Amino acid sequence: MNEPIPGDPYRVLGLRPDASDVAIREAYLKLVQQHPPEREPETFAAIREAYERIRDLDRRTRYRLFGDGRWDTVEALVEELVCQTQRRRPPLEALLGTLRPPS
Amino acid sequence: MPGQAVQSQPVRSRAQAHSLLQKGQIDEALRLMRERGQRSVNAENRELDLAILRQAADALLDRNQAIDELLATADAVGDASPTWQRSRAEWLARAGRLDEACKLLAHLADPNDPVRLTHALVDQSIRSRSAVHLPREYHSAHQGILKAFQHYERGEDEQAREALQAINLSSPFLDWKVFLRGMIAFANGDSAKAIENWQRLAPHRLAYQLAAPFRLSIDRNYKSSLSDAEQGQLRKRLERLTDEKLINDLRLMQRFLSSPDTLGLAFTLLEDIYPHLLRLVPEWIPRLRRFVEHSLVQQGGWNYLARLQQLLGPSPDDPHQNKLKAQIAEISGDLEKANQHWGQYEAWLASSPPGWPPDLLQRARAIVLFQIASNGNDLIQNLTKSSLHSALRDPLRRVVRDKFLTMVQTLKRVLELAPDWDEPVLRLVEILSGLQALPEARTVVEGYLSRHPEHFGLTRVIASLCDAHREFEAGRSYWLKCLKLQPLDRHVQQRAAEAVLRGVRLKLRSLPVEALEQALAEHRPLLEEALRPELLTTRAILAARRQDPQACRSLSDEAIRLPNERSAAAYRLMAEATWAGLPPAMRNPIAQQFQALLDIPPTPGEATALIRSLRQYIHSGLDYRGLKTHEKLLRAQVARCITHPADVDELAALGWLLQDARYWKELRLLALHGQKNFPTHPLFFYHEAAAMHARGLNSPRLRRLLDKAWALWQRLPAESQTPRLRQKLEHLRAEVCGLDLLFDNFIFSHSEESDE
Repeated sequence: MNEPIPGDPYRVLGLRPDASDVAIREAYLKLVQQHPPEREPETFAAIREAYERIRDLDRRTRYRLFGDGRWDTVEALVEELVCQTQRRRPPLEALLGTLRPPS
Repeated sequence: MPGQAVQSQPVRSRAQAHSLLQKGQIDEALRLMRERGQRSVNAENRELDLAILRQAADALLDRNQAIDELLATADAVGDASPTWQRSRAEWLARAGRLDEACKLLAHLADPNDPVRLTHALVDQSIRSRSAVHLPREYHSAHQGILKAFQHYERGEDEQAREALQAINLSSPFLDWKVFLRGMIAFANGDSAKAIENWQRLAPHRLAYQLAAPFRLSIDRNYKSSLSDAEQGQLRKRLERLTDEKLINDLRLMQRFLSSPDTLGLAFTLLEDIYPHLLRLVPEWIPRLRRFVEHSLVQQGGWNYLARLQQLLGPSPDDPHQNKLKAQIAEISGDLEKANQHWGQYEAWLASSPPGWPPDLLQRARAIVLFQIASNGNDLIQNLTKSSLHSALRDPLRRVVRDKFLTMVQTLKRVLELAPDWDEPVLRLVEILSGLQALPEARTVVEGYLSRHPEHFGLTRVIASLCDAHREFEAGRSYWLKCLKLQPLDRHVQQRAAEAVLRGVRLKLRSLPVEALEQALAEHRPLLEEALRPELLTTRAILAARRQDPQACRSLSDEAIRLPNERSAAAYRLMAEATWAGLPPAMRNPIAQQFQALLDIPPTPGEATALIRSLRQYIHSGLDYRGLKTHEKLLRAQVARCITHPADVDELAALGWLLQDARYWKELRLLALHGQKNFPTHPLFFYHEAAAMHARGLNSPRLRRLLDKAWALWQRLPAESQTPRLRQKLEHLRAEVCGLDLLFDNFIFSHSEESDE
């Protein structure tokens, strides 16, 4: 798994929104084995946080009902945008342009 | 301007040169720096000059322009230090004047210089996309790199790799090959491979600089090697690859969303940027919606709901915005309106909208209904706090009762939908107990426990309910279960011990001695720990029933000798002897002993033990003949106990017991005694106030007592401020002062009318 995208616990755990308690727990255990805290503390923390938000029916339902608008910020979106753009193969011209001072 | 610091000429010209460079006026910038005509003595300023010249060099070389003016300026403002020489040499190399560059550095005799200069030349050729200054043998590699870039940009990874094939390990273009391989891996999500490649890049090369921001986002070791400032700069570079205006607008929108006065501006921006977001990150739109909705809830954005709906369309999970409206209403305190919308939202959920798994749907309905019940509870609290009717009692009671009944119905629906959820059970039981519907409360809890027998909280609730309902046998069984679930809980130990002992006491007359002694033996450690004095007296009575006067006497004496148990043990012996129906021959000496011990005024500690023993019998339904008489007798001991020298803790313990027992007359007596002996302790002023209030004596003295208690409380050291007293004091003040305020307002408004 590459870096988890912040904000959506289902995406972090690689699950569909209708995943069951069992599936969620299995996904969580598999991921923490792949990304142990001593080696990848930030990824582990993100996985753990995602699990805590949807690990049982009550939490999943509350997440669905009330979402995480209060934790989300525009900076998360900016990071997402930047992340998307990075992977979109910026041309050499654009890459070199980042070295020039902003106009 | 007067007062402003005067900038020196070099500072001004440096700033102006920088500004000219920003505008692309390189020649003018260089001329200005030369005209300054002096080399700065300050090393830091010389570094600034060098930085400006480097910028100028980049600008000139990227346009393939001549660098003679640049070199002349460097001579004017720079020096002959290795840093400056290497910079000049690098510029020469990048301009294709490699031999001149090497000659310039020959005196430094650094064997790496020629290689570095070649690298600078090669990097410049990629930077300018021109091989004009490159030696012929490098042209094909140069072409290969540019071609590979083109393939990479088009997603033609195989072709890109092919184009890079010819570049070998000794080529000065190797870094570019490695860089591109890393970029291909990165684009394909293979961060490990990307890092593996980029780790090989030389820090002085251009490729290293280009890779840096991407590497920051995936390579933790690299990230931790950078300062916060360096990381910030690299992030900014990455953002420039994205639409900068969009990013700035997003940040501005967030600011506007954080205030009710600028919500309109936020929406205008949102309407502007929404199409871009839809194109770039369509999967983010639901999060954007939640983020905006959250802001509307926080800012009370009623007026923007339609606009939100128009822009983002109906939310699949809240198409009529009922949930959103309910939340906005809650934040603004309009709970009736909130419940209205929650009700509509629940009805929509009940229609089984698509996209909801059945278990999630059911739970969602339960959560929404529970929210309605919670709001209902808050509405009742507000009603009882704010209404004048709280002084008039009856009309409010009817209104409140009706609201509670509605809550009961709602909570029952919650339990139907979510039978495994314990919070609604607890809330429902609380309300049913308050409505004195104890059998129904018990049914609810038993229903839940039949599915969740290990639930400690509810087991405790039902144990208390059974006790309250005087179903002691059932209560005992539940208390013992609580003890099994939480063996170290002191309160549970106490209640379980009381339940066991109560069970034995109630059957003192009816069951054989052996059975009763067996019942005690089964729980001996528990009883010894929690109720040793009581255990001794009950065992003494059992010994008497067993016709063992010696054992009876021995146990009685042991009980009486315990601290503060002198009269309490004697009382219990007498009470249980009566209850057990012991023959007069056995009962009379016990009664006489009791009377003799009672002739001596008890200490406050002894009075506490007496009252506590009495209350145990009253609560247990151990309604022996003479109980009422003894109650009067024991209550009278309170007046006698205060003749003893006072200990504040003993008086406090007795005070709380009298308050719990609602012995107001005795409490007031004790309180007055406490005030006299401990005039700085708030407890006794509180006790007197509580006693007065309970008896409806709402005179000005009551208010004064409370004010005094509060003032003394605040002067107590922190470690003496017990939570119990604080809570009770605050509660009583709220009750008393609330009434006063209501009456003041009532009187005031009526006196205004009469003035008219």
